[in-house]
Amino acid sequence: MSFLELNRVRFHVQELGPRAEPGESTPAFMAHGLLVDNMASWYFGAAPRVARDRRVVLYDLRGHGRSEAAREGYDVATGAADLAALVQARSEGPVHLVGHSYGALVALRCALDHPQRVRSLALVEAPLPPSRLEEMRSLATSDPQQLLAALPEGLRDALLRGRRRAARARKSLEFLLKESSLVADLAAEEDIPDGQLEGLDVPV
Amino acid sequence: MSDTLQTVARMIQGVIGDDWDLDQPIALETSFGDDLELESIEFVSLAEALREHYGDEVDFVAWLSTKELDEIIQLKVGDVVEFIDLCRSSN
Repeated sequence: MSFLELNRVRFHVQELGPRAEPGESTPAFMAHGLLVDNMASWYFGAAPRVARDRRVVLYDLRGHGRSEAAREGYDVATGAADLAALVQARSEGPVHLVGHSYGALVALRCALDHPQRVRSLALVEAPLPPSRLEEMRSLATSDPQQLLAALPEGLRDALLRGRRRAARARKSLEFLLKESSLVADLAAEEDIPDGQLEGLDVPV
Repeated sequence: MSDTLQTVARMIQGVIGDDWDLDQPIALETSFGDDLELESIEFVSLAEALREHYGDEVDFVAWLSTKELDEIIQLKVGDVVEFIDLCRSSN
């Protein structure tokens, strides 16, 4: 299994596609959404298609999937620093960043803070401004049970069918909502000033 | 038990690890959803194990990416074994 220590947290990282950079192609790095999400959404979704002609690097955000259950650092700036460190570790040149939901905010912040490392941004369902982050409403109660109940039916079934899987999903949510700084970090998240967005000099 | 089934069963056990509580051996009819309760991130680890073992010959990830979520939930070990054998016989 592939793990990488970045910013003193152990991250689960997977790569798809050609092992070396084919020709001039730019690798793509993908960031997933919060809480019940992990790299699998990309891994079994868009990533294999993108990986036909370029290297694709996927990772589990801190506290998600198989990455370390860090107690702190769930603000977008720290997430962007994690992603920037991953890009530096796994690519010599600038990369395409792809992000979904909270992962889109992380990718955007990464491009704002490290413009030299980013060639383009693809943001899927980006909750902009960040104060509109969909999860925030469900997080207000920080009750894992309620959060799971509020999920779309298909996803809920996939997560909660059976004893072992349901227990693991609950345990992971318990940690993120009750024992980590995630809820407080997201509540403190500020919107990005228009001036900063205007300064973004890559295709979005 | 076919060689492929044996290999896949060993990988699944490796992925689930200490959390293993299945009282029956893994068979072709064993389902990833109801029987094994494999999580999405465990599917990623299984894909990694398959790639390490079979190399580019068996593109499990590309195959799974053509399936819808509910199809993946209903997958049986036999479906994966069949897919692997098909890839290997056509090469």
